[in-house]
Amino acid sequence: MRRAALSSVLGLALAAMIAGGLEAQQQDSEDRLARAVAALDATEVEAAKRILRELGAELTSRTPADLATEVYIRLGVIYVSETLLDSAAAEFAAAVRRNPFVRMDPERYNPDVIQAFEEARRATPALGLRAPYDTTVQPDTGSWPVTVAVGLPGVVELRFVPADDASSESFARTIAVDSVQTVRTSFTSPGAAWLPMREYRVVAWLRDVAADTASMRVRVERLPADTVAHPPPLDSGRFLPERRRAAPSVSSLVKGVLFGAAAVAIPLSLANPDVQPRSVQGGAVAVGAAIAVGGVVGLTIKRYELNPQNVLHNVRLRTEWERENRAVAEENARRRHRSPLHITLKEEP
Amino acid sequence: MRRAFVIVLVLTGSSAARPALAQEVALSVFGGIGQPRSTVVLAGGRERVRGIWAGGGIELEAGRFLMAVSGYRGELTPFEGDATFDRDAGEIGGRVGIALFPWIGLEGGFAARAFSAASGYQRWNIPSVGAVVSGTLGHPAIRAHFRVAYLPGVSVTGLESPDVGVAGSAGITVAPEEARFVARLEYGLERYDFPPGTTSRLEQFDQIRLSVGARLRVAR
Repeated sequence: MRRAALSSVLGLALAAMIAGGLEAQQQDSEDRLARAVAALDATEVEAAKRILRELGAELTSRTPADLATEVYIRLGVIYVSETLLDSAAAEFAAAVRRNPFVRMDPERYNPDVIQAFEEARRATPALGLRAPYDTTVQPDTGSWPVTVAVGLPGVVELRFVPADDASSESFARTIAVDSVQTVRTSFTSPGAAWLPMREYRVVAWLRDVAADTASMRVRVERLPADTVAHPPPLDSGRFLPERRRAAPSVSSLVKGVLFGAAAVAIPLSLANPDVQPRSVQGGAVAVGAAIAVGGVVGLTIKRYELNPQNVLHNVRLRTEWERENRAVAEENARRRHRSPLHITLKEEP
Repeated sequence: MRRAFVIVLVLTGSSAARPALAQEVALSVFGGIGQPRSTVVLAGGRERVRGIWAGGGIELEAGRFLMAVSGYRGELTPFEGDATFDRDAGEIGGRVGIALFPWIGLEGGFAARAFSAASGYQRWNIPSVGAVVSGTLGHPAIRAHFRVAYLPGVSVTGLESPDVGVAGSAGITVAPEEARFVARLEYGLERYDFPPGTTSRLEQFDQIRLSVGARLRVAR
């Protein structure tokens, strides 16, 4: 227990030391970059070049992209001024690979530098994606911007794939990009109702240079809609009884007597007089009497029949409630469909 | 031919006129007890036997159609006349029917009845075709029926077939909708007149029967 606690404390301390070291190293790199820029401004090109080369040799993938790009660009600019165009192209290409969005301001650099940079960029396969970190988009009318930057111009395939299921249906766009281009994606346009609310991975790649890909993860969700309350369930007191007491059925008594008489008449009418005198038989009388009693019971028993007016009243009540409920459900569905989409970037490119 | 076809159509009717008949399947299982009596007049002599039979049956009503099977057995004991032998007896039978209207239907059936005594064994094969009239007595749970049937082609072991065979029965059935209980009390009589020959023979078989059971209704 004590050993585990000690290990945790040591681990935290080590992590803090590494983080502190990285931060100090970055601060040092930024300071040295500032010194190099100051040297350039003072036309001390050699000093600046030396600092930048040292910095360039120390760059790693952990170095912030802005800092690394700045180092490559400054070195490239120095090499152009020294007419070392191949070296300049190599530095510019490194800058583009590190940050495909990097561009040189024509108002800040002379045309030779711009030309050298553009030639190097256009020869460097690189692909970058950018999107707003947190956007709210109105469905039907709004759209979500994804900016694509390339070094080597070409056709870019852009695909939205569900983050948790890459094999399911995805949405693809194909665009020809020369430098930087923004693609606007509408999530719930009439033809694109396919996109359910979930997390997506946006993947892009240069069609002819399959190795160059970029991706980011976004979460698409609907903001809660202000829905209408459903009507309360119908109060049972509003329903009318659908059955009512029926009037005594005199016909049941008549039928009971007729069927009972028929039972008694069976031996009287069917028996062969040579076998048995045509007389009343006990069994037939018992059954005939039971049937007649059944007729009397049928006359007096509580009978119920449907009350059509009340049934109609209840049906109308239910139909009206269902219509109202359905209308609310449809309105809520409309409101939910119209509620804005909230798109957040979960993982940067 | 065309007219006969039209008559059949009218008799069988359209199901729209009988919604209740077309919507329910009911299965009934009965156990019953009956008291049959058999009377034979042979060459001027008269013998009568009676006894108690017990058995059961199953009825399936599907809309307008009916299928029923039953089986009963017991003993018959002389109680009047010249009969001297006790006999074991029993019968099994089945019938099918179709309701043309809620109150009338046609039925056909077959029953095999056997008597065994020290004097020998006799079996009766009894086909039947007939009509049944029925109606509720003021409440759907109480229903009375009256049935008449012609018994053509009756065959009896060791005897010529009777040239007259008719039957009639009537009864009341109580089957509350809310309960699965069903009860029926029925009286029936069969008459057989054999052709005059060296000895004239007339027979009559009647019985009262009480059946109780369970009915399972399934709405379709």
